[in-house]
Formats: sequence, structure tokens, C-alpha cells
Amino acid sequence: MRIVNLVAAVVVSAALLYVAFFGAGPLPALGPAFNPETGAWTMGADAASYGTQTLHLNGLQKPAKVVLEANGTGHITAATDHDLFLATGYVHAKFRLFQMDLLRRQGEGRLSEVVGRDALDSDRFELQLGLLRTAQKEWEQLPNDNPLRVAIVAYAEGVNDRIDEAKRTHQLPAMFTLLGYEPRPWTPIDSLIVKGDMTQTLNFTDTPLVMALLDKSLGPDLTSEWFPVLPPNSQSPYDPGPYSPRTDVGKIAPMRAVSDGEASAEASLYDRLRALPPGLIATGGASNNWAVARSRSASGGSLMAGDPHLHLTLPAIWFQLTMDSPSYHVAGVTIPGAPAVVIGHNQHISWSLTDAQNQQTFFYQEKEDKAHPNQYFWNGSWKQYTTVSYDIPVLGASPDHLTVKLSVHGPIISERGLTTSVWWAGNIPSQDFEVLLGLDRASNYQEFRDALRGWFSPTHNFVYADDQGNIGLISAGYYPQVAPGCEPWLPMPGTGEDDVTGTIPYDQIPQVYNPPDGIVWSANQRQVAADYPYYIGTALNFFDPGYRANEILRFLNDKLQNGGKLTAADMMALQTDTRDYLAGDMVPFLIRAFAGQTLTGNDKAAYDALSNWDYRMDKGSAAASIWWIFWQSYLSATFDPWWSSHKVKVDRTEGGNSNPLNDMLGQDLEAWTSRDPTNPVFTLVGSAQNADDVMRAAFHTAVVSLTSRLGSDPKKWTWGRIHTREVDNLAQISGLSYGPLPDSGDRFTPLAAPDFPSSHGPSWRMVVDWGAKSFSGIYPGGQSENPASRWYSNGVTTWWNGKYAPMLDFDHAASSPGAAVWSLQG
Amino acid sequence: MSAQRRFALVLVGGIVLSLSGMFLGWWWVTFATGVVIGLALPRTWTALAAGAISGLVAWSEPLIEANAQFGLGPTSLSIAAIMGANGAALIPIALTVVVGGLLGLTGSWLGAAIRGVAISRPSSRAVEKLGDQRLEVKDPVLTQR
Repeated sequence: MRIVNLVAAVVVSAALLYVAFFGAGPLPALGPAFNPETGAWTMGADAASYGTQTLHLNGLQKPAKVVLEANGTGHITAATDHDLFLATGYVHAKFRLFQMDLLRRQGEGRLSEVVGRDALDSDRFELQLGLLRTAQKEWEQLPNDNPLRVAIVAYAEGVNDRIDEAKRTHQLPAMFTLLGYEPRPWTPIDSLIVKGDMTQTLNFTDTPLVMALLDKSLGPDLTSEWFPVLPPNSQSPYDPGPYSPRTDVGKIAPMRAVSDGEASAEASLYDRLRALPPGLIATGGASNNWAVARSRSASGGSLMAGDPHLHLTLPAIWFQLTMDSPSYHVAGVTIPGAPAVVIGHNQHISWSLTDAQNQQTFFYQEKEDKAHPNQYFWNGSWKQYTTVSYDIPVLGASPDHLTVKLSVHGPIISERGLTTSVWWAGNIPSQDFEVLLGLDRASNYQEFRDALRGWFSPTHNFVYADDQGNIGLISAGYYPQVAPGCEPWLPMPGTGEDDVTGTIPYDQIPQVYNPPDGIVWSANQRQVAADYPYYIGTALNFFDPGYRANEILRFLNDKLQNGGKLTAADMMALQTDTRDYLAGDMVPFLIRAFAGQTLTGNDKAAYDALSNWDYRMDKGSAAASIWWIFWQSYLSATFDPWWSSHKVKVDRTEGGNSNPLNDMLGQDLEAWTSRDPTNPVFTLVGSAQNADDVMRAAFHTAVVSLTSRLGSDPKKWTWGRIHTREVDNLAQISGLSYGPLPDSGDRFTPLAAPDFPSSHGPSWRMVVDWGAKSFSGIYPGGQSENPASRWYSNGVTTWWNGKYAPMLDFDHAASSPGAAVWSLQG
Repeated sequence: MSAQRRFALVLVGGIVLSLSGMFLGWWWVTFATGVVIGLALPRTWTALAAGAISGLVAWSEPLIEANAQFGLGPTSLSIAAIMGANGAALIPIALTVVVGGLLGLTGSWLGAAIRGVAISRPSSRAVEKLGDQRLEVKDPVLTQR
């Protein structure tokens, strides 16, 4: 009996200890996770540890100070530049260490190591694409005395100071405990990887694959017509020319027909890329920025506004910081893992950015032959592939071995059917942090522009305003060019003739400085007019349809009519503007389509609502719902028959009607409705003959759909019942997300809110008035990734309500109510 | 030393040991302490009670202290959210206390079981029948032999 008792005790003990040590199923390792002294509970102690205190950091050369405002905004002042970056690393890691570790793991292909096989596809893809290889090259190319090298080394020291401290005091973020691992030391390469992550998210596209599949199914003629290089609708390029002539510009060739083999190979690769986690492939961009010259400003100084639109997460991608040292006096938002202010202002200039959307990703089909194993044909001879091998550690499994082949174009990312490599500007080593630090130090437009000369990828529209009343906008980055006659919008032959030959000269990239009308603006629209002499991408290459840019221009011009002047309050109002420019353009055509028709019931009520609408996508507006559902219905009615009859393999509505393909078709539909209502595209729709026929049918379908979904009373079809917004927890823990809650705006409004629910939008809003020397900013999140912290999501409500917080300088922050001061000692 | 006093000493010692271990991140010390308690206290049920109580107290005390210092609410709600139990702040607290209690209880059970086997190794059938109660007081097993 006693033996039985002992055996039972051993078995039960073993089982309990196993679960406590290793976890079981969804349960984490219970022992370390729930240890009240060192487990997940320590997030409470961490949240309580932000008060005034003295801290000792290894490597600090002289005492420094950190001020944390009552809302968590950080201010660092240091006696040396080295110490500024070291303290920045420490502060970032103090508040965002788990996020930083995730970011580097994503780019380095090391997610599987902590989450298991679920992340293996992502890791394999990242290692194939090569962020790690690029970061390593960037690090190797940095001379020892380069200021950037000093900055990122000091930054890494600061991060490691915090990692050591957190380990010593058992204060590692709870997610480390729950996932059962500790962060390894931070290295300068990790910071370069974080930069690569952002480049990839904003810039790595699969558009040529999409174009190939469209070409194969719709045919080259329709594809050329529907997905042209230049947008078919009216847009507002900020740089309308005149342009310097280019002699070697080639005429855009008619699109070639894609073969069966190509289509099959591209379909396979397309499916693979689409199956990757969100964020690895850029599928759209949305950001706003604009500036107003002194002559147009009520304060007598230039105005500037910027709101980059990104995935809204808790913790946010941004960390708000003021950095002061002998060389730097800069405030704005930084990215945890990176030692520079990305968007902000210093004592003389301010800047913000939007994605430029030009084509920086090119696919090549390598020519191979069985007689030449492991080789590809290029420039008249067979060349050996370079290979790189990786062993990807996988939690709970043996390491996954990966061999990456590289041609002159870049990594081979598919060998199914055809061997496809990818040339991506993000793989060109570039010292983007050096550029950002140059912006942080710049004191006038010349220095600003000179600094941006080294910016390669992702191409951004950098808006500029300064304390002398000047404004400017420059779309800095590489604009890869291929030889005339090549088709960069499709996968190209890899035999050499279609290789990227260079980029547009810096002086000829889109840019304006102090334009005569006193305003500059960008919202991801095509920056240049039709006569710009260089290829920068097709309209499908996720340039925005231009509605936000048009609305921004309309708003600014309205205010400036009759000698009006603009104010910072106007800038703020425009950042939260909910007017849908496309609706303003299209609804009058819809109203006209019903001229002479008798409508009854809900059709009549919906028609009346649209007839009296101000085109604002407000959450309480029923007309907003009617418009949106109508527009989707109009798109479906027009294009679904073509998709069906031609068996198009690209999902038109992937991403909830918010993707570059649907946007492109929307531009077509807008143009045809207003200028070509008898286009043959409409003839596949039942008995329809023209746009009016299709619009009427689509309108009725929309009303039926809304009645079915929201009830029989059209007054209750408010936009907020359909359209909600949420701020996602970064680890996809729904209980730690904010929302979803009803919200205004849509994909095309300056207050961008695509998708249902929308988790993409203005990730940071900044307004600068150089006349009043006032700087305001807000982001939908909080400074801390710790969900138990008061600074986890404290900015969301302010942001949601369209309010701002003043961006204080160090001295004002130090004396602000509730501020905490950290004295840093070496 | 009276049984009550011995019980109290072992219990307090177990709690202190367990707390010290947890502070170092050695949560398994709670289990090990339970084993020691099981070996040290001669009555099985007494040992089990002491093991469980030491685990419960050791894993509760830091929570009580933390609650007094800065409030456990936001932390508990956050852990509940991570567990997929939105709003159920009591679940992480209960789970923590239960884990501590189970570690102590299981450890003491194992300790008591080892002790039982070790002591009965030279035993006869008759001795086995005497049970733990006689073994505990005067070591009657040896006396009778």
C-alpha cells in the first residue's frame, strides 16, 4: 500500500512539475509564469516603478536626466551625444523591450524559436528576402569613427543595461515569462533589422505577380486598359512640373501576354506571399502631410501637419521622445529599437513623411538549364548561384534547415515551375539612420535636402517647414529604372537585358520648395503629372487613388479663398476631416441616374438621404452607409461578371474591399462613370447598356442589403453600426486591444479608417505652427507596453476625440504637473 | 517538542523557505519545501496540511503585499486578458494561489510517501497495521520489534 502511495505521489508530482516547468497545451509554464515574485505579476511592480529615482547605467560618461511627463512622454537630456543614445536605448527598453525583441526576431527569422512552427513560414520568408543579410552588410560598411556607428553602439549599450537590470530585478516584461524565454543582448545589427522591418512593411510588394495573373486571365489588352501606368482619374500631384527633360525615356510598351507556365509559377508564388502574416507584404499605404507657407498662415509662420497611417497597435509603433545633447535638440516620435526621431521637429525645422508608393520591387524569372545545375544564365554566360544556409531554431522541434540561393538580382523566392528572384530596393545596404540623424540636426532646407540624398528605401514624401517660413516636399528614395521596352510591371526575364540600370537622379525626383501657391501636400498620391519623364510605377503599384490628396487640396484652397489664412486649428480639423472626396465626385452622377425615375419605399428614403448629404463619413450618418454599400455594390456589379467569366485568380475584395486592386478598379469606375458611361465594361452586367443602368441596379442592391442587415428604417442605417475601429494588441490578445467601437471616416477620408473593423489609420498626428512656436502631437496608444501600466493606452481616448497634447521641451516638461525625473548616473 | 509546536515550526520554516526561493525565481522551492515538510512531520495528514498551507501562504503573501502597495487590479485584469478570461480578475489570483497550494501539497505528499516507505522497509505485516499514528509518537515500530 505504501509503495502504491509512493508511486501515486511520484506520478502526480511529476505531472504537476511538468506542467509547472514546461506548461501544457495553451497553458504556459505555471511555475515561472505565476510566481508572484518574478512571474507575470511583476508587471504591477513595473507599472509602479516610473517615479522619480536615481538609476545607474553602465557606460554612461556623464550624468544625464530623463523626465517623464504625467502622460508618459519622455525627455532625455545628456551632456554627450553618446550618453543621449545610451539613455535612449535604456528608456526604449524600459518601456518596450518585448516589442523590440519581436521586431528584431521578425526581421531575423527567429520567431519560431519562441512561438514554434506557426511562425516558420514567416521566418523562412524573411531569411530568404534577406533583411538580416542587408543589416549585416550595413553594419560592415560603417566606418569605426562614423557618428551613426557611435550612436547605435551606445544605443545597444543602453538597451543591454536595461536587459541586465530587468533580469537582475526579475522585471522582464511578462510576455517573456509567459513565453518562457529571456531576451538575448541587443546588438547594433538588431537596430538595423528594425529599420528593415519598417522598409519591408511599407515597400515590399507583389504587384508584378498580381499583374501577371490579371494579364493571364483578363488578357493583356484589358489588363493594360484597366491597370494603366498613369491613373485614369483626376488627381492632384504636388509636383506638377515643369520637369527637366530626359532624353532616354522610353514609350510604355503594350503589355505582353503571360504564358501558362509563367502564370502557374506566379500563381504559386502569389499564393505563398498571400499566406504570410499581415505586414510582411505592403498592400497599401495611407498617410497625410502638408505644409503652409508663412504668406498663407494666420500666425505669420509656416504651418505643418503630418499623420502617417499604419497598423494601429498597443503598444504603438511609436515612442514619443525629446532628445537633447550637444548636437541634438529634437522632439517627435521614435521607433523602439532605433536611436533617432523619425518624425518631429528641432529648433529650426519640422518634418513628417508619407509613403511615396513608387515601384521598388521587381521580379525576375531566372533562366536555368538541366545541363547547368545550380546555375542561371545572365549577360551571355552561366553563373553560379550564391548560397547561404540557415538553421532556424524551432520551439519544440528540431531546427529547420534553409538554403537561400542568390542571383545577381537578389534572392530566389520561388522555384515552383519557374525560378523567380526578387530585386528589392530594401535589400540595398543604406544608412537610413544616418539620414534620420541628419534630419534631426538639420537647421534649414539645404541641410534637410542634403541629408535625404542618402535615403534609399522606402521612398517617402518628406514634408518640410521651418522657422523662417519656408516649406517644401521631397519624395526621397530610389526610383529604379530599367531599359526602354522592358516591362517592370510584370515579372521580367532574368537574362540581363531587363536589369535595373539605375535610379532617377536626385535633382529630378519629385520635389518642390516654396511653391508659388504657398502649400504642399501629399497623401500617397502619384506625386507627378503625366508628362513626368520617368517611370515610377503603375497606378496599380499601390499609389493611392488620390481622394485624400484631392480632399486636402480642396480643404486648403477653400480656406484660402478670398485672402483667407490658415491656422493650426485648421490643420487639426483637416487631420480629422471625414469628407469622402470620391463620394462628392460620384453621388451627383448617381442622383442624375435616377432623373425622371419614380422611387418608392426604402429606395426613395435612401435616395433622399444621399441627395441631402454633405459627403461626410460620420458615424451617425445613414447616408454614409448608403454611399459605401452602394459603391461596393457598384464595383461588384461592374467587375464580378468579368472576374467570373474570365476566371480571374486574384481576389478583388481581399482585405475587405480595401486593397490596391479594388482601389485601381475604383479609379477606372470613377473615370468611366464621369467621362465614358458607355464603356464596354458595363455590357456584361445583365441587360445593362451603360453606367446609369448599372448604378441604378447597384443602388437597389445596396438598399436591399442594408435593409437586411440593419433593419427597415433607413434613418437607423448609421455608419457607426457598420464601421468600427480598434487598436489591436501587438500580440493579438483581444482582451488587451482597444475597441472595436463605432467610428467615423473610411478608406478615402483624410481621417483614414479602412476595413471593417478598421485597425489602420493615423498612427501619429502632429501639427506645427512656427509662427506661434507651438507643437502638438498625439498617438493612439501609450508609452508603455505593460498592460497594467497607466501609460499602456492613455493616449487613445485623446486621439480618438481628435485632441492633441502639447509637445513640451525638456524644461517645461520637467516643471509640468506630475512629472517624474530619473537621474542617470554612470 | 510537542506535535503542535513542531507543526508550527515546520510550517513557518516552509513558508520562509518557499518565499525565499520564489524571490530568486526558484518557484520549485515550494515543492521542495513540501517534500521536506512531508519528511519532517510524521503524520501524513498533518504533513499534507502543512505543505498545502505553506504553499498557499507563500504564494499569497506577495500578492497581498503588492495589492497594498499599488493595487493588483490592473495586473490581474491584464493577466486574465492574456489568459482569454477578459474581466475575470479573480481567476489569475485564484490560479496563483492554487498553483502554490498544489506545489506545497504535492511536495508534502511525496515527502510523506517517501518517509512511509523508508520507515516501513524493515517492517512486518503486523507493523504495517500499526499505521502512521503509532510510528509518529514514540517510534513504536522499533519498540515492538
